[in-house]
Amino acid sequence: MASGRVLVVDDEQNLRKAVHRTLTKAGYDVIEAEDGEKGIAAVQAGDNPLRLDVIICDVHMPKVGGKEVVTYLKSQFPSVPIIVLTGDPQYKDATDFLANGASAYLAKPFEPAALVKTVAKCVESHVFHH
Amino acid sequence: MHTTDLPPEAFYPELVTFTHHNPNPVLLLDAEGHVRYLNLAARQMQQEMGLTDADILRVLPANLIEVVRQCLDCGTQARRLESQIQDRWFGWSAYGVPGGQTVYFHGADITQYKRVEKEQNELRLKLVQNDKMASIGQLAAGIAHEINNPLSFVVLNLNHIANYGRGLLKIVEQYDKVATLVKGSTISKELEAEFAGVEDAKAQEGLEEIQEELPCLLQESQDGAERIRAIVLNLKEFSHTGEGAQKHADINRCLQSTLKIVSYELKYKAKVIEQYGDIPEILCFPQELNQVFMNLLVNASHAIKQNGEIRISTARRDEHVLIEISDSGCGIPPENLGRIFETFFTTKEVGKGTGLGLSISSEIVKKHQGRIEVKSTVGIGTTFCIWLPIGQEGQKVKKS
Repeated sequence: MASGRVLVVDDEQNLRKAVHRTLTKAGYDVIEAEDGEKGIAAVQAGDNPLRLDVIICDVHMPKVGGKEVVTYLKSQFPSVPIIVLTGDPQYKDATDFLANGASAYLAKPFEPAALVKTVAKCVESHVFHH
Repeated sequence: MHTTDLPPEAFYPELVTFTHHNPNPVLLLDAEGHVRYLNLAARQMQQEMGLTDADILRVLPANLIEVVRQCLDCGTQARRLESQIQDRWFGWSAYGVPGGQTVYFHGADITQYKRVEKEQNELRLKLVQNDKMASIGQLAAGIAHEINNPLSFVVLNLNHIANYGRGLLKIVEQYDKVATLVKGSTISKELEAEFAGVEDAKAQEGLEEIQEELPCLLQESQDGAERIRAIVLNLKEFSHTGEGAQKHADINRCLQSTLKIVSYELKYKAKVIEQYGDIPEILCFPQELNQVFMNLLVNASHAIKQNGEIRISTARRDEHVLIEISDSGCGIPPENLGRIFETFFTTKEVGKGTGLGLSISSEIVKKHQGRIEVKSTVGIGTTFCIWLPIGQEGQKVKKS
């Protein structure tokens, strides 16, 4: 069973829950938040405020969108890999995010297997860097 | 003493000279529509255009007899009457007096004006077109995002439901085995009553049906979700926002994705036969070509009443990619065949056709240095052939 701590930032509650459930089943500890700031507050309020292995983040949210979220999260957790979720599978955007600090991206809708695999890869690289 | 109040009759000789030497053509016709006089300019025009005296009437508006009659009944008809001959356009005014014997036609060459007008129309059409494509693109991106969000958790949840469902069925099966074993032994009255309750519930809820159908229902829902995903992707591919750039594209894929968009329109009317040949990628504007394909496919479907056939094929012909779209529809009568690419020409009922589809398609194909041809037989069907040059770049980028 895999292990690691994942922060899921998405304004869509049902999607957060679905991602949460999928990753919990795969063995991860999941924290949900509806935006970046609340996400950081949630991580810091948790049992182990120092530990975060992966951030999963929607890039089309009403308040702060796209690159700003990635940039903000990157500034708060410089070493934590970020997986961006996009509802708009434009490859150009995706590569832009990758160039801006994201480690991977998933185009919605994604299969649970793809989600778990992507998270596992990112956690592995993060643990390896530590 | 100078005055401008003198009647024109006072300048009769000058008016005659004015008419005769006027740089614009002037023709005088009698009540029967015979030419009685041509001024110098009209003579020159007649020579330039190689028209005989009998032919000269062809430069005048088609309804000239009617115009002559009106002039002789009611007087001057100084309105712009247009005529076209040998790529030249004329605007005519007719002058006569009630009860008179003859009518003057004064013409102006408006070819240049007409050309500009046509260019402006085409430009306006292109602007409308660009605007339309841009809004379709925005709409597509918006729809893709709006649908993909809920679709994401539907896909994830369906997966969990499938797993839970399988789990529940397995547990029920195990319980059933245990129940069969227990029922075989001596059991208490209470337990017997409980078992009866279980049997009742099974019958009432239709356990067998659940066991049989649950996996199918889940599979079908997952297939459905997959189809929604594909539709959204196709919609996006069909019109990439802000990606109106030239790029290398596989025409077979363009056709497939367009076909998916219009399949809802086609599938009740016709069987679609796809025959894709081995063709190289070509440098093109894929979203615009998609629109051409969509127009042709929708037209094909409109031409078919029911149980028809639409055939799509591609092939390489030397330095061209040939795309053929045929239908077994009603066909186009020969008198219309030459006009179908004209802007605003339509035979569809009001509200169904704009007369823009094929003219835009033809513009788009021209933009690609290609050509579009049509063959049609009434009652048999219509075939459109599009020839697109492969170009030097395209030859290198072979389909893998």
